[in-house]
Amino acid sequence: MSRKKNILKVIILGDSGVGKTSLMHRYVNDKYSQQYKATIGADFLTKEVVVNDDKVATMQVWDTAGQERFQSLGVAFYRGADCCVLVYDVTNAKSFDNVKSWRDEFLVHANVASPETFPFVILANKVDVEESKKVVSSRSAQELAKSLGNVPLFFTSAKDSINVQDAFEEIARSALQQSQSDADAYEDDLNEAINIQLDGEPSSCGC
Amino acid sequence: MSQILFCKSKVYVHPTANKNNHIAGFLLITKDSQHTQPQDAKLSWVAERDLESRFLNMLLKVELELLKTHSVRSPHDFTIDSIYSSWSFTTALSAIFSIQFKPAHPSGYWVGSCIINCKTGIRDDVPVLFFHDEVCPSTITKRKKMNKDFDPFSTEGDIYWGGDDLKVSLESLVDLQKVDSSQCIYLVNASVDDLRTFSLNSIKRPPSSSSSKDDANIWETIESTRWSIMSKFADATTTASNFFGKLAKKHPIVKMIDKHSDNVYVKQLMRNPRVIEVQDEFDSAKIYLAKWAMGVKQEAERYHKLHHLDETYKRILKSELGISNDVELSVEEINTAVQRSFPLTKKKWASLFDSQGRLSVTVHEVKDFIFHGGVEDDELRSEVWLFLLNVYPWDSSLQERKELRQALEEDYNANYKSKWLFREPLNDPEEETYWKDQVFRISKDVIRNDRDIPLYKYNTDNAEENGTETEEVESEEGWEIRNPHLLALKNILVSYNIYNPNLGYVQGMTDLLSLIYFVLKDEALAFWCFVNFMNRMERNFLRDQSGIRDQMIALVDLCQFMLPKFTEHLKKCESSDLFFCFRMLIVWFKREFEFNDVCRIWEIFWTDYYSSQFQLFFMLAILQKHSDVVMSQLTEFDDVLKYFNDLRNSMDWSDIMTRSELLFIKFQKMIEVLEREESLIGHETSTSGSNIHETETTSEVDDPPLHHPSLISENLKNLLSKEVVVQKEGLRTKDSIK
Repeated sequence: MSRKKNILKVIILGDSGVGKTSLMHRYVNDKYSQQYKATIGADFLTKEVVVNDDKVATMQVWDTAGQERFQSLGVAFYRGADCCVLVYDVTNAKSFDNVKSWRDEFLVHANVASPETFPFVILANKVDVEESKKVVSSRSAQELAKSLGNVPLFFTSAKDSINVQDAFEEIARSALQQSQSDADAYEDDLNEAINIQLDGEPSSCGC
Repeated sequence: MSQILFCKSKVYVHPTANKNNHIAGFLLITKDSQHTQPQDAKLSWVAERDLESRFLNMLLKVELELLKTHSVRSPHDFTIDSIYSSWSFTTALSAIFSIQFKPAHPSGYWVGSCIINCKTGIRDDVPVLFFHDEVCPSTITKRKKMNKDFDPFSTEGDIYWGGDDLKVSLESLVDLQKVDSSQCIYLVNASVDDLRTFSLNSIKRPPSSSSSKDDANIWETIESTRWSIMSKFADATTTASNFFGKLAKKHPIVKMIDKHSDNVYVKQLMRNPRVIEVQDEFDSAKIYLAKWAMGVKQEAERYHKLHHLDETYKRILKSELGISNDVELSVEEINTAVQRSFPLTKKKWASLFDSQGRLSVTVHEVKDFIFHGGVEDDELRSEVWLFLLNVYPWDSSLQERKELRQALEEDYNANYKSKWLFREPLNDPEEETYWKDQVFRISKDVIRNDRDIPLYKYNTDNAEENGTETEEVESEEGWEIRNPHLLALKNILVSYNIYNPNLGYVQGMTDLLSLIYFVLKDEALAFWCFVNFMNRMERNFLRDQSGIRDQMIALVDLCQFMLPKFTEHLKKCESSDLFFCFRMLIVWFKREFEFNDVCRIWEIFWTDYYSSQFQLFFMLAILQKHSDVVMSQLTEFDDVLKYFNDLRNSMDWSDIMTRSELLFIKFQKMIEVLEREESLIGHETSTSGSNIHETETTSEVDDPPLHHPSLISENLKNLLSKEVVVQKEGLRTKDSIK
């Protein structure tokens, strides 16, 4: 698969209505609207990012439909992802319960090289709402993040622009790291292949 | 009880040019009763001399009364049918094919006149009617009033004459369509075919025989334009079922011209002012000829400008879609597709039904109108869609529809809406959770649906903005719906969940409903329209995605078949599965076009005019339109997806629709050619027994066949069917995917 240079591919997953599209727009365009329709199919926005003060890359943020049955079509987009963002809505317990299955679903379809180290980030969205409406506690969120392998967790609000920039900076860092390790692994593979060939050479000569 | 709707005195018949022979009379429009269909009203002319004096006085009174009111009751013993004289006539409006108005000359060189042409076989003796405005009381009164109210800054520069009143009166009863090629000819309740025949687009310029010696100035152009119109009229007798051309042909001058239309001398003669003057004398002919001769330079220029623009567009279409694989699109086919200028108007729609309110033309004719012109506005749409979506049977009467409407409303409320409105929680906790989740999903999608449309914009009890509300909408949480129209969307979707429990709610369904409700604005009717629309759309939302996948596969085949080069390129971009078409297909381009455009697109799809899967041809047309750009600019999967996603709100739906039609026609022809070839090959093999030798040699010498039989996959053949494809969701279980 040909990949363009310095593209960091980020996939946003989560139940429908948790705010995936809003988060993407807040981050890329610094805009918010109550009126984003339910996403159909998939779309992405790109943004130039500077990571660790020196590395310039283009981040491609992919937004997908939240309804489960459409996921079988999402597979095509998962491939080549450098980071996966899992979003839930702090006012919706079910969306929190589903975070883990979104992660598992991703790992099944994305075909990543090493699932153990693949970077995820969890966003607990809509923290701007009044306390009484929040049904997912910060503690249970932290526990989940820990159980999934110390996944970074951010409490965000796309509407009030809380923590969105910070979260995506972290996402960019993880994605860049993942992208580089993938490239290294590719190089390793290549070297290994060459070594094997070199190793095999005498025997092929011997016959 | 008979009513008089129009009455004009001093309308003359001129049996000869001699003034002494002119006969004054009344032109009337009458209606038998309140319940008569507008098109069954009658147009009559009766000579003054044939009228009893009491009726003559009555009509003179009625004429002036009608300046203030729409209709006047006539005395019960007044009948026109019983008056027989050589020139009087009565005809139902429905029997009139066309009316040609020739306004009075501003300086009074001639009086205004009109020619009424009836449909073939009905009558051909309707005389030309002349409006002697200077002696007509109603015209004089009206003109005085108009002059008093004259607004020098008004843009309407036309001079009022008696014929205008007739036109206005007719327009209130029937659909009058001005034929583009001539400013004064109107077709009455015309069929699509007639409109096509007489429209500007289908008039071809005849080859100019010898313009080199003549001064090749603008007049030459006008001349040929005139001739083409003339010859078109003459053609009409043979090509269209009307009387129009017959009248033109009957006239001696027209006959002469018709015969010698290529003759340069005749052309020059026609240009001679003296000849023009002579023709003016000849009453009937001047309807045609004076207008042409009296300097319609501007008209001709505009005509040509339009014509050339159209020609350019047609050339583009022809070069892009026209010829390939031995298949060629004809001029007529291109004309028909380009021309979408006759929408279904309210009057037209009304004229399609008889007095019982039953359709009196074929369903195909109605669909032809809708496919090629669309529905005029949303008000009419709210009725037409009920037919298109099979809520009202096409062969129903008005009374039957009234009853049906009531029954459907009761059915909706009793059997669907109240089922969930007053439901008891279920014992099965899993089912209860499922239900709540469904309602939650629906509410969530409804509240964020099409909020830019005024109807859905403000989430208030009266759907209108009120001072503090804007802020409240912004800060709104918990998805509480207050706008009554959004609430109706939710009610319908939840009720649909009862109606079709296996499918449940799937994202995208709100988009489909939103438009239907917007047009219908009636919850119960919108529900049934939605139910019927979902009958064909259910396949887009199945749990296993098989229905939408089938369409994508068919589209891939279609694209390979019609746009092979583009398909090759998409393979290089890892986009050959056409996934980037997913959003467009699943909700029928709802997200790509403006709200009103989507209405037009959908009603065309619903006609199943060419294919029940016309959406795939529309999609193909979008691909075709953009194939050059994509091939020259894009090489990556994500770029292709982005490119097509970003087309939203940038496409001209009408251009795409025109292309869709042409692509379909071309597709159909290609399939025909291939099938013919296939059957020939099949024939050869089956009859090869007797002359094996010959067959063998030819098959070896021949070029390999142009195609592989597998090219016409079942997928492709199915696209020719008008039968709606229905795929139902299977039984829902607890483990079913959401």
